[in-house]
Amino acid sequence: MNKSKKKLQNLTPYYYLAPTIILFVFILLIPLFNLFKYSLGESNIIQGFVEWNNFENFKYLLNPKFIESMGVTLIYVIFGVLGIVFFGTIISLTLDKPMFGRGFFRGIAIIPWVVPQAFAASMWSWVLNAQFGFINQLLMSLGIIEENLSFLSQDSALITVIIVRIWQGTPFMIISLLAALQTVPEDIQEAASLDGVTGLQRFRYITFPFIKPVLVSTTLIVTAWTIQIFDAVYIMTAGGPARSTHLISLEIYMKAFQQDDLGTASAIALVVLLLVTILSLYNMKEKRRE
Amino acid sequence: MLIMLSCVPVTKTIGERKMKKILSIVLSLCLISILFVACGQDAPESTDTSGTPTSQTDAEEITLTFMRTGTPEILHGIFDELIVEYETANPNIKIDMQDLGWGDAEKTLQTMSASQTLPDVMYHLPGTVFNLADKGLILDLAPYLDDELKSDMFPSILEAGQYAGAQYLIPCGGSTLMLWYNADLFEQAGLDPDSPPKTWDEFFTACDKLSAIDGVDPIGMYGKVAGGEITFVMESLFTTEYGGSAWDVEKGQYVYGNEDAKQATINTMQFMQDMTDYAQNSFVEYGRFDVRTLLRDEKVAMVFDLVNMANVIPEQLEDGSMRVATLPAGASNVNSSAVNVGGWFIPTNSEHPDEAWDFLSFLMETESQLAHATYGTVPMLQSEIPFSQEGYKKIVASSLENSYAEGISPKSNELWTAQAEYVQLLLLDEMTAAEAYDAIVADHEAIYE
Repeated sequence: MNKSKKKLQNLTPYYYLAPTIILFVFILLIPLFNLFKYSLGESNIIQGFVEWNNFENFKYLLNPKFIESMGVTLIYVIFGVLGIVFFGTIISLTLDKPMFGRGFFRGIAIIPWVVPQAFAASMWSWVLNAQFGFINQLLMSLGIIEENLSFLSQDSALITVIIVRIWQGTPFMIISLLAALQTVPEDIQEAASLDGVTGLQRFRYITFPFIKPVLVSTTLIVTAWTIQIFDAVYIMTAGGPARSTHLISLEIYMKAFQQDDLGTASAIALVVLLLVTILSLYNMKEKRRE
Repeated sequence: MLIMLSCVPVTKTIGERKMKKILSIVLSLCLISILFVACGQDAPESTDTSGTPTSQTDAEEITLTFMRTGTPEILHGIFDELIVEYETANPNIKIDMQDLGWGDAEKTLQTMSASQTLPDVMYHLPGTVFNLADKGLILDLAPYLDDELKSDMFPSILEAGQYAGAQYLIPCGGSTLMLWYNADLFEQAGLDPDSPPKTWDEFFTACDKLSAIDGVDPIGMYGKVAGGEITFVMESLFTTEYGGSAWDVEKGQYVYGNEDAKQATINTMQFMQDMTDYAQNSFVEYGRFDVRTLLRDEKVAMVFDLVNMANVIPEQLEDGSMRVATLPAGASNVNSSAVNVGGWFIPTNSEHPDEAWDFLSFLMETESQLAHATYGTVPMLQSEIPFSQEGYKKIVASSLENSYAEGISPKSNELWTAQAEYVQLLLLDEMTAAEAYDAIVADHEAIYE
């Protein structure tokens, strides 16, 4: 084989990879490069990068308002993900058992995941409305309450948006865990039943070790998604009242689109990118270990 | 030549092969460049049968894109007829009306601006338009503005469309803040509906009396942080307490931070905090649109709102069960308000600015403006006044007296967001008026810098 032919053969895999690499450059590397560029100077949506401003955008990361948003996001992510894992596990274990109408209930369980987020948020806003909301009307007609409850007040708004997040995120956990539960060998479960183990022991020592890899990676994916949630919270509360639901994603949107400050928005987005990257790396490490 | 090259004898030396390669590359490049030149060439000038060139503009049909931010269903009802009228008078011009709701207006405008696809004639709010003007995207309309239109417009309203010495916006819609109230509930509470509260003290006296009615809150308040809604309430109330505008046009800053305006600002915020004692439950969950339904459904007796409230309660205004009055006065004893405006502008990306201006002028004619006014606006033209003397329209027109143009700059959105967050904390009793004042002034200072 002559040299030039060999050289050509060595290049062949790269020809096949080229479309993917080109796509990767356009949809990931260029936006990522722009994100870095915008974060380093005065930038806006219309003109893009205007001028270098001595890392001025990153100073906002020490602003009490941003730190407050980080705190709100942390609470939202921790409780949102814990809720999704808890309810997702319980519901998937229930739906894994043979019972009447199991297919129907499995179908019902994934509805919140199928409903578009913006629509779901508008629906919840109406259901929870303090004056005309369905829940208030129902509780009032049943005589349980005498005065309408406020679900989106300063004290309750964060709890409400976390509940909505759990409602939206749980179906993904259910689908993933239901698939993982199929890998638990039936003979081991039968042997455990014959040995008289309790339900909790069976979950702890048999089911959990089998579903753990899926549970961990799904939890990490759900965490990354929850950090990026924007539309549902924006529609329901717009970050209020009194910034009680002001997530980082809302901070990015408001900086970029309402305050015309793409530079600071990019600096904040880099922080989010860093968090999601750490989660992804951890996820990859876990998978390699398995 | 490529064919000729391909026909050369097969027996050739290495040098010939190299030469052939080089020639092929050069020729290919030539062909590609010819292709590009051909594609990039201007279309040939059209000729008539006699061979003489004809003017493209004479025969060419021009399509102007047109956009009015707002509720499309209502706006088409107003503008479709006007467009037909204009197209009939100008057969070579077609108007393509596009829709844009308020919800996604800001984001869409930024995207259109970035891609230079703003419509030829568009309506929007001055804060955003001035921001775009700062980036060289909006046409200065001063050279186009004729004396007839100039003299017909209220000077303060025309000024509301000016920024940095240029006329970027021709205001065509706007409103003061007014007191809308339910006359039946006033009677039930023993109040005279013909004599609505004129001062802040009278307002609270009315609130006390209205509190006695079961299932009704005396005042509907909107406390959501949204696009300058609460800040406009604060700015309007401030003018009645301070007796002057809340905006220093020369400095392009609010006067709240000035020593002589400090007490008036704190008093205004205290008034707003005191109002919450009489407001509906969870008012921070309500935007301006939500509160309109509360007044319509008789859940609240009074609301401070813009002229657009009239669209929600047209029958009630007709039969007199709902009424409107000027804003109760603070310490200045003058029933004033801030006036917010929106208006027409032409972007620099318009390919037909002259035709766009012609259409804009048509929209600013008295007849067109009266049709547009049904969407909800105080009169913008002096020639509209004779048509605004009946019923509630008279009060709406009179609310312009003593009122001041709302403070607008390219930083308005940022100023409003910062201010609204503290006003919300004030309304929730999380801050005192003095604390909120200090926080607002400090944040505004930082934004100005």
